[in-house]
Amino acid sequence: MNLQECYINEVTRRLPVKIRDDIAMELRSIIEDMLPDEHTEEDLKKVLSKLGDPAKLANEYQDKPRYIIGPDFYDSYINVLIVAAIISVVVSSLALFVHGIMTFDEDKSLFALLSLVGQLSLKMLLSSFNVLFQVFFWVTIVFIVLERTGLSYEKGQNKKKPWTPDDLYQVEKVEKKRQIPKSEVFFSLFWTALWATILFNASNLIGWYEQTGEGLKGLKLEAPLFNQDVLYSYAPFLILLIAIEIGLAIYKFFIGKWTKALAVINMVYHFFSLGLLCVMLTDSTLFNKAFTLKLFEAFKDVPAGWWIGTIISTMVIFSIIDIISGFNKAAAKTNITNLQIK
Amino acid sequence: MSDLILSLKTELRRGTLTLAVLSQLQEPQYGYSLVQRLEENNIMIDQSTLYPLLRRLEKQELLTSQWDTSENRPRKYYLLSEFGKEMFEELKQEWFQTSMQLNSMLEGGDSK
Repeated sequence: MNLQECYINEVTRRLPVKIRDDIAMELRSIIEDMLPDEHTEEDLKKVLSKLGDPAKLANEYQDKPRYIIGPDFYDSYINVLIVAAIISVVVSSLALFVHGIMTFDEDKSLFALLSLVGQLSLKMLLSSFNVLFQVFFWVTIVFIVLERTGLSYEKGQNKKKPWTPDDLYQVEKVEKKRQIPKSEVFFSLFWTALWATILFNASNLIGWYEQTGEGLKGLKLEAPLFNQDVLYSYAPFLILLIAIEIGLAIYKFFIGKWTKALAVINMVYHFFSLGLLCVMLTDSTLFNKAFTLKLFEAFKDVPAGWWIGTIISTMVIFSIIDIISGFNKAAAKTNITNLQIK
Repeated sequence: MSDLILSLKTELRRGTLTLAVLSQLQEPQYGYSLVQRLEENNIMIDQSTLYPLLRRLEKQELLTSQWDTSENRPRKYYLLSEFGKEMFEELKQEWFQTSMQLNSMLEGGDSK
């Protein structure tokens, strides 16, 4: 291939296939126009250097943005990254911490305590690094998709109607009624981390305890509540539930106020968690025989279904209250829907 | 410092290039003939900027283009569209107004 074709190829290979041929043809005629009739390689080189770096030229031809995350999204990208990093590091460290404390042996020597602290710190540090990379990766992916699909909240708002200072009143009024306090978000994340850790360590933690000696030390786990194998078979669903809870909390954190969309998501979440709860509680293989026997021995008058019924109805009532309050808060002022991210 | 003045100058000229290009496309021109015409008028434009600019203007429907394959060397001719003519007139008025205002503000500044 001669120098000229080589140059054209260097430009067009960076362009979409659709326009390649046309641009190649145009470049060919441009270059030939610029060359004197009898030309040497030196002339050609002069002409090509006038056209400049082929990569740069190809970039000029590209309409597509030459950035991954543009100015429209940059601020929110950085904000999301910081907050997501903080939340995930806190949650993962917390989960490790709770796990570490709970699996701690009765050994109360100072050395054991120190080594526990050391191990825990190291684990937390490593998992934080891991989590940070995950967060960075996923947040970036999400924002790249947002950028490419042009789903901009600011753009969307501009399309609907131009901003006026009057909008500020509405924002302020709304904030008070529908606000989601950040503490609520952190508490719910904490709660998720807590129940998840406890549930996955259930065989060592929850069950029938009997006092065999003195004080706390004498408390002995006679019969665990769950059959571990069966519990672990639910793991995919439980992990999904955890993911939903964390996602919901993060979503709440960012939009900062109740919206209809959030209320609907909240409802779906409750249905899912209640459904999972019902399935698990009515699954008799999930519970350890030894535990149920002990329970019935201790409370002879209570019918078998009572425990499960009580737990389920309590959860149903709390869920309904939360779902309704979500919709109520979301409806506190309905004409500001253009502030929400769809 | 010289980098800064260079980028400021480029920025200042960027919008005017479109106007200059549009002004020369009342009649069909191919890429290189356009470069020559601009150079005759002392408008220096980077060729790696000009050709992509032509394509963008075509995409915005200010220009139409046609391949002429009758000669031994095929050439792509660009011409102002009807829409392009309207836009050119408006831009031209805008330029006159802006440069007048700016000139009077800069008090006899360089009015080349």
